[in-house]
Amino acid sequence: MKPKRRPRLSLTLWFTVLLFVENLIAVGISSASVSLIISFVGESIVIAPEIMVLIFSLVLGTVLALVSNKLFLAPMRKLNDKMGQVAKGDFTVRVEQRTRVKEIANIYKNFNTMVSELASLETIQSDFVANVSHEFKTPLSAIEGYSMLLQGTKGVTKDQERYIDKILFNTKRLSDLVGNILLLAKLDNQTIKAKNKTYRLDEQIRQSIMLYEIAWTNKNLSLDVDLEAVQFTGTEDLMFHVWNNLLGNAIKFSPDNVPLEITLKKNGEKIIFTIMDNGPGINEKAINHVFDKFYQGDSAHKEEGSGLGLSLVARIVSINGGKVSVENRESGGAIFTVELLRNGKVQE
Amino acid sequence: MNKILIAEDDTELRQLFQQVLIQNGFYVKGVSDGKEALEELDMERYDVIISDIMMPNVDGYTMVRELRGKGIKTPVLMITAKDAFNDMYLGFHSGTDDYMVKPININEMVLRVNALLRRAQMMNERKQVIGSTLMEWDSLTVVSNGERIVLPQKEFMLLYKMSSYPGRIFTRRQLMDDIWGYDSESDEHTVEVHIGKLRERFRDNTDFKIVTIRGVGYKVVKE
Repeated sequence: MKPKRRPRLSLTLWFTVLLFVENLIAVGISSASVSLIISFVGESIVIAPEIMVLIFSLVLGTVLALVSNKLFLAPMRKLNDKMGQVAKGDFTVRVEQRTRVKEIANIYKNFNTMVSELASLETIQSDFVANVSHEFKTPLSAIEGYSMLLQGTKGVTKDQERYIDKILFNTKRLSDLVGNILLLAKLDNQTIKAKNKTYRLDEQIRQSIMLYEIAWTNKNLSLDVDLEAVQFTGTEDLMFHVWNNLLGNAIKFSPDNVPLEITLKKNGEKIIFTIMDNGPGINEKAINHVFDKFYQGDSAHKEEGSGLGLSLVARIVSINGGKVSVENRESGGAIFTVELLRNGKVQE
Repeated sequence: MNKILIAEDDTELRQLFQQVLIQNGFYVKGVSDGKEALEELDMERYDVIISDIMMPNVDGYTMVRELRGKGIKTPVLMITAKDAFNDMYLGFHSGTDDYMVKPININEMVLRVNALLRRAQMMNERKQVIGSTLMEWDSLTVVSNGERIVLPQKEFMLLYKMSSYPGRIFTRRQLMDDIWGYDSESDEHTVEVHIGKLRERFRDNTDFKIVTIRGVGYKVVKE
């Protein structure tokens, strides 16, 4: 059986109790001192001894309270505030106050060291992902480039062209895979959220749509886009991956010449994004696993994807305090819904 | 012959791009970082610069910013592995003209280089041609079918901007920011109104068309 948790009392309460006891002692001492003075000097000299004791102990008590607040309580509160900021992802926080208490000075020093370590760790992680990604994509680029040159050479046979197409197709797969794996690995290992930014979410979605223009025009999909102007606070770079992945999938699974609907609406503090395709929809068995890593329900399109895209989407959306879900439409096709809060705070 | 400078620290890629561009009739010089690029550009004039972003010593953005700071207007095509959203904005604001993400489709690279050259030429002459329609920046005039029409400034700039990137979609906000400025009091609806006016004016023009991609933006398409 779990042991009952002892209730935690606030520091202020502890100090108040302590000071109260000290005050009692102070009152005791002052009454004793006053009585002693009276016994030596005589009652007439001392006016209303009770009031004197009262004033004496009040003064003593107040002085003690101010001193302890300045030395202990205020620094604790300040440190608490700063720690809260660090937990939200701000690694520029430092404590600069000077204190006469040795232990508190040490706490400040250690705190500052700790935060700057966290900052450099974060940079290393981000740089790592960016660098490894760069390192991978560079030789892939070379393979792709020379393959294309090969395609353009005189006398290349139909078979040879086909083989080269295969090379190109697989380099693209590899490139997408590397990007997704690295990002997912980084996000998996991170609990502190990256920097937030306030920006126009609808504009970002439009950028994504434009990025995929070639893909949806090739299939002659008729885009039905309805985006309200929405200001959103979240991790801008990561959210871009969300739209790209969802849009990419919707296009991939759409047959030619069908509509593709994308909407973005405000609902109080909530933001709701939907993307509806007219593809085959999602297998009922698969629908609960779609956001799992490496899960690919549709064997027909297996080669084009890595199964990581949607788990990346789920991870990023949850980092931004939202949720993503999918349903099959009665009319056929799937609808993906992303719910976010405008200020990106974690949803209860 | 057009001269192209390639700034790319990876030897394999640099050689690949050089090969491709030489085959397409360009004169090409390759350097391995931003610092060498700036030194080279101090000595010689180039028609297009192709640059990677992540390079040692001086990175792509810094190099371009310095270039623009010196008043060098050579068009820049940035090539990078980063496909982060932020970088696209950073790139365009530091003065790059176009952007490609690795792995690079070399055929696309050639197309973009040519497009940059055409635009640069048109910018130099402050004129633009679509089909048989001519647009003159200095006089805010559009000449087509023998007729010279002078347009109000915003309308002209809107048309000119979109025509210099035929086929590319611009969102209302992008057009708002580019032509009315970031601090403008007007809202995006103004763009709609101006596009409407342009459509009215050039209803009978057979060289180009302004296309709406509902919910996304507008683009100018050659007919």
